Amino acid sequence: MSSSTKFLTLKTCDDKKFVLDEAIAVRSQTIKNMVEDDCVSNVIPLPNVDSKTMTKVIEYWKKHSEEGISKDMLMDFDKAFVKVHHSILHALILAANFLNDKEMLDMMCQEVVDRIKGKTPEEIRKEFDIKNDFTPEEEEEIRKENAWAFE
Amino acid sequence: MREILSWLPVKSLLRFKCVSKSWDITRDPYFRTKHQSRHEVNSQRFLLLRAKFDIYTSYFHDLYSTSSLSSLDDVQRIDYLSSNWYPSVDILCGSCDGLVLILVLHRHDYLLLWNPSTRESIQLPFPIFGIRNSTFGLGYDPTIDDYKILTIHHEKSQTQCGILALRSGSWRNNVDIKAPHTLKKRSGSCFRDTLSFVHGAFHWIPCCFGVASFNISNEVCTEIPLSEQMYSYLSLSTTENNHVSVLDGMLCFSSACKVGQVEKTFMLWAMKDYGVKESWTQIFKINISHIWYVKPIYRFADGDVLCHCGYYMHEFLSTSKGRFSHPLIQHQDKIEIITFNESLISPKLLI
Repeated sequence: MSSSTKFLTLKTCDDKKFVLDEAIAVRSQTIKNMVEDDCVSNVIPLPNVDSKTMTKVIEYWKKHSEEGISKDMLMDFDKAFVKVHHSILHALILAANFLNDKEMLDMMCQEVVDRIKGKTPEEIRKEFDIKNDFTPEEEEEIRKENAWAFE
Repeated sequence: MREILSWLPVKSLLRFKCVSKSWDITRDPYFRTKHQSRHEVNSQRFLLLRAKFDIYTSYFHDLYSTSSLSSLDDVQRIDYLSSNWYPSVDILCGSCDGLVLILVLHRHDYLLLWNPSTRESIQLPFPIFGIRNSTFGLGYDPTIDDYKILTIHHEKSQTQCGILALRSGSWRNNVDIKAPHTLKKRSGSCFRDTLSFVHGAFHWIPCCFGVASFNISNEVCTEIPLSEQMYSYLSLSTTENNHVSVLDGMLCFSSACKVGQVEKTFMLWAMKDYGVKESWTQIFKINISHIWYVKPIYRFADGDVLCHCGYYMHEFLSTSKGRFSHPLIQHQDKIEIITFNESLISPKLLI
């Protein structure tokens, strides 16, 4: 029974199809639940993920499912994997969240945090295109309260 | 977005409060809980208090927080708490959920509950017996969702206990901890001696062999027995200096003792399954000479243990490999290190 590899077909929101070994696809808790509940017919639709992002996700899953891969190799892979533009990182986080792959989600979140934790509020506003809705007085007040955090 | 923010260190969160109103989330209880659960495991930090004796200023303190004892990359210097110019001697009494209990021995002694991540602090009600000649411990009681402080006070061969549940706002003094005589705390404690809190109970070294445990919720005192090997080893020792400590979440028992004429030996055991006598496991046995006092502080990832040691008036840190040195703690007269987790809990909201 276990010798026959089962394949699943995933369909992204831009109508691209991906055929994937079930053993790999169940890294996604969402897909795993669907498989276990037997509600997988032919194609699993992924309405929240586009094909470009899905290609990256599958690249990650395949690498992490490789047999005999060393921890160091995985670490190098992960390091290179997260070095992407923040719009791609953002899309990957949303995908990992939807697919419910905690390991991947945690890694991506950690990357965002590493990127932003040392930034100033101004840089954060610019990076995420956020409008400052404090009055100058309010902002001054908050800054004063935690002046040490700006050192 | 909140998912990502919950991964941020507290310092960044406080700085980002002024990004926009929606980023000012440190007061949101749901976010706090989420942040706390994230940081419980991975974000242990060290709090390092160092003091130098100076003839002009007497004791002056520096306080640092750092995520690593091997590098200087992430050291934060913390402005000293008591802005008083009057010199004080401060003792870090332990931490729980990122809150640190500090005894300040000052012209007027006081007790401080402090969150080093947010730098918020409150002065706690003062115990009736004072804070000298007392030992303190801080813990969390999930049955009433409150933090409790236990103090055991020794004076003139009398032992008294007090409990402060933070929300109640006052000490319950002369608490009968229902301890049989043999579980009474061994006297002759120094300020350094603290009550170790783990598995919902405070622990100390009692008059008899073993470890006394005081449950924070039902306030019942019981004995945690040592293993047969430990009993037989300790019964041979002539001098002793025993400690309970918590390393990696495990209750630990250590002893620096002389067995017969043999050189002084430091032994450390950990109770791998809490309450199971058979699970005491020896972690260390090393010869020590020229050390009088050894108190374990922290277990490194490689298993080595950092200890606070004393010899005559000298205090220093040591691991099994010898003296532990770090650029921040060289040539200091007094060093204290405790570990804490980053947290957003506000001491002001606890009372």
